[in-house]
Amino acid sequence: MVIASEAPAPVPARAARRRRPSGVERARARAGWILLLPALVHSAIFIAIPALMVVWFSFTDARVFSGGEFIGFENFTELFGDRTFRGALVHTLLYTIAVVPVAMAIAVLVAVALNQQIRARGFFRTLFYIPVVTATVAVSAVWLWIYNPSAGLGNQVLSFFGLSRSGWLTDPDVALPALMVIGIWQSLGTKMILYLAALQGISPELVEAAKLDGASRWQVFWNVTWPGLAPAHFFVLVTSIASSFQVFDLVYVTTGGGPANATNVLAFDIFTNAFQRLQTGYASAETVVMLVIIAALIYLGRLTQRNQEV
Amino acid sequence: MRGKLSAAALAALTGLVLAGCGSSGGGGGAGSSGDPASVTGTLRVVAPNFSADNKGQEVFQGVVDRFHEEYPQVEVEGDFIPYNNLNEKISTALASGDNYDVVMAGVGWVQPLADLGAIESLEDHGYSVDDLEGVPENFIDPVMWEDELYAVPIVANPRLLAYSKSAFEAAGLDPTKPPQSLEELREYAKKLTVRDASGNITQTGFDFWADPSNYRQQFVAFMGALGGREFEDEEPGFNSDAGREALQLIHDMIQVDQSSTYGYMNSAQTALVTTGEAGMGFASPYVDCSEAGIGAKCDDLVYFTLKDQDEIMYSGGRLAGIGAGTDMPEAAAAFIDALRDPASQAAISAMDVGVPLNADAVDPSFFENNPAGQYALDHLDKAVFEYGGATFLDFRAEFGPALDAAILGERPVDDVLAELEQTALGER
Amino acid sequence: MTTSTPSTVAVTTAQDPGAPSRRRPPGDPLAGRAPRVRRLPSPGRALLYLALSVGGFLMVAPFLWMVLTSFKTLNEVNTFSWLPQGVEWQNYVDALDAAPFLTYFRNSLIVVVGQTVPVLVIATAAGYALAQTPIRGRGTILNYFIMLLVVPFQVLIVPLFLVVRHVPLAGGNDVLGMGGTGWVNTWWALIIPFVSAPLHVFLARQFFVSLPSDLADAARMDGVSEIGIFTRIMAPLAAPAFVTIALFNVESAWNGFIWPLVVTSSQEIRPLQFGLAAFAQTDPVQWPFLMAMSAVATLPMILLFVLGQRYFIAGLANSGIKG
Repeated sequence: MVIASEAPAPVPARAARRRRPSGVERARARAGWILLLPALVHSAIFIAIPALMVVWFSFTDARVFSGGEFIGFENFTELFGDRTFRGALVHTLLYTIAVVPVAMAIAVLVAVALNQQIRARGFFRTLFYIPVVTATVAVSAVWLWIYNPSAGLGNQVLSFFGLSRSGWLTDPDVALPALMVIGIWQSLGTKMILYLAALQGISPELVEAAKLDGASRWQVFWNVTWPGLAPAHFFVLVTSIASSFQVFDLVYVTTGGGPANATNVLAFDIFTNAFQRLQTGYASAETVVMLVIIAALIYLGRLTQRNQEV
Repeated sequence: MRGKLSAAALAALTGLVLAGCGSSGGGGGAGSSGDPASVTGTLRVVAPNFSADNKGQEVFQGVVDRFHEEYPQVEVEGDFIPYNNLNEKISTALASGDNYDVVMAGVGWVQPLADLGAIESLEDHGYSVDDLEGVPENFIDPVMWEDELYAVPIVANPRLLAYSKSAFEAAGLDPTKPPQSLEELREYAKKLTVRDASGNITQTGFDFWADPSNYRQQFVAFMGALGGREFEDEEPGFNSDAGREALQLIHDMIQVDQSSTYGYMNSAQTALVTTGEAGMGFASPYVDCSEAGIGAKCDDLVYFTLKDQDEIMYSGGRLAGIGAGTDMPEAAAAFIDALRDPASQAAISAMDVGVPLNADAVDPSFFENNPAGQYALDHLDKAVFEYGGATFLDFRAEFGPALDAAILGERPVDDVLAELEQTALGER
Repeated sequence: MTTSTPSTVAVTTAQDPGAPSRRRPPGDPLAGRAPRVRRLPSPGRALLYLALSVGGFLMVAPFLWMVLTSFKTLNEVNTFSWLPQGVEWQNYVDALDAAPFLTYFRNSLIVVVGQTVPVLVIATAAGYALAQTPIRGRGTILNYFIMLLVVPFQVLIVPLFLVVRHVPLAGGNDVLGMGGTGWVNTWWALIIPFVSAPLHVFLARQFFVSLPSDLADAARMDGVSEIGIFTRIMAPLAAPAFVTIALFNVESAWNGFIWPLVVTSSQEIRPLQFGLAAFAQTDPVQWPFLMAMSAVATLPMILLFVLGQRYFIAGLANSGIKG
């Protein structure tokens, strides 16, 4: 019985590079290409090409996506001297660093808890999923109430503990952390589903075998479940980094980047430059920088998975 | 009021590449070339002022019907998008070159879009300032660019000021006397602030009705009362004594007097003075005094204008222009005329929480339950606006957060305004 | 016996580690099920239920508020409250009347189905190919998909619009894609750009990577073609992945707003979010109507989730992995 956490395919492939692939291998590869092609072609037309257009624009001074002359790296140099951009970059990094690990950790715990045989677990699962589909308007209304600087729930809790009131989203020092909490809250549902799906793929025989060998619950978790979740971790990590870096709706609906740009994040800054100031070239350059940074972070994330075949 | 008035924009783009629109070329007076009754084609209108629901469609249809009286064979295609998303729509329209023939927008965007070459001068199509008789004079400058008329104002969207008589009485103020200067406003606000035992505000003294980064219009209003204007002749005018004093005053009222909570809005984002949560503050030009609305509270409210050196009322406005390069400029101009028709104005004001500009457009029943609207109508000549020159868009994006920095005391007022001036002059 | 210990996180599978003697023989279709034992929850269990309940309530609070507010009158919304003073069912009727919601619903449905069905096929096929077939350069191709994943949608809006507008031989365009309007303001524009997504390909790939290949090997020896292996053996095993992709895609298609906004101009093909936006951008905001229609809009997705999450387990039971 093959152990589920191992990915068998890469091993023969590495061997295959040192010799000519057999007919069977070639046939398999051909079939693979057939299966892959539609997605590849589609992504090239509808994502890659537009993305390349954005890169092109980043080297021009275009306004509203038309015309514009080639200006080389001017946009980029201007960008790095732009205080608003630098602020947005820092805020986005902080936001990502805070939200991603915390949300992933909580999501794993919740998924594991909801994968057990407990009563009404379908009900609980639905509860944890609901934030994902709740209208953003409703989400912001409730959280704005919680964070209301006058008499919101947040301040009531603070005064209950004898702490002084906070301005929450109207206080430049607290606004970003307050948003991080909402971000974690909002992203739990999606991650939970992903981990739940991944948990279904972990062989129960393996768990059983480990238990029979005398492993404690924690050892079972750490040595069987956790490695089995490796592909899921990688996926959740990558997509979490990407979506945290791209956080926009949350900021747009609650603080609009304020107060005093304290919650300005990259996606919002790009939006402001592209659609409020109609400076396409500049916004495109900002996007390129953002992409490079996310790519670097994901690469680092990949490195942490190096010891596993993902 | 995040973005409602500030996201207005739309330049009429018309770079239609399609062949087949048979109207004769522009350049003549409206209607002077070709018989309108026989012109065919499709007129594309982008209409953020009309809500996408059934009520909005009805009002739009009314305008179309009026338009059809002159151009019966021209089909009208309306694109109803929410006001906040006008920017995205313009960008795609501009980018693809498939532009609109008629564009509806708000005050502030005329100059940048004219500068981008997206809307045409109306004077090429027989319109001149004289055609705007009946429109209050101060509404003319916001639609001009390089001394030519580029758009036509349709309705006004003012922000009023109001106070509560009962709150005045409780604070020992005379309920028949609104503040006559900004200093008085400040004093009144201090007296009107009511706090509970732990120091939280239970009644706001003066409600700015703004969330963080959206104190722009309030600043323009205060500065206006001190005699300053945001831009004059397309040059920045806010880095002046009036501007500095206004910003300093707002800072002092919020941080020093603490007569309001910075950035506080109630759950429904309505004006606090109308819900009874504030003694005085900014308010909407629409109020429903019937039982279904705020009912008896209406009798308690008194509307007033900001007074100091000048007496002013902040206002936004909806306008319409012709897209650059349109194939059907006469038809477009006729559609704009249909928009300005008194019946259209009345219907649009009712739907859009605005006030008609044309005195004939006033339907008495409209203001029966809406004393705010009546007050706004009577004071249209005191309107000041938020608009500038070609750099207005760049400037506006920075304006809100910069004001925050000053109001929160993070940076001195003088520095903030000086820096903004540089952006407005295109130097940053 | 082990269920009574306080620690609650160790067990991960559907099998309850109750008394080992209750384990069923291999091959028994009920092998994954826990023995039905009725006994009082242990302190550990009770704590778990408590934590889940508190957490669940926090998660669901905005949704509750949304539903409760849909029964309030407009004046009531000025101050934040939970329970409505009366139950205004009329809000739902009025909201439905206020805008052509039936058309909007129908449009959203068409778009969602039109996107999700192809996505399930295309993305899982590609994911499988990247995970289990010896394509040369598949690591690079995976990196390519991941890179595409990180491009934020807002910046793609206008370039994608240009692509859609210049589709050759569509909407009056000539072979070079000039002269007409392409797919603008058509169903194609709403559906085709989303029938595949790097996110889903990546997800499917991760899932297939964790599946063992011995079944495939056995089938290969039986002479089943590669593509047959995918459709007949691997795909059924991937039920959780299918459900997840479907959930994600339905959610994003159902909530899509900006793209339909820029690419359509006529009411006939605009989706649900437009109707909601109409309520959200009036002055004053029509909160009760907005909440009513938002609640109605959320129902299909919740339904889909409730049905789908049960399928997670059914998928495993039907998988044939054991034995």
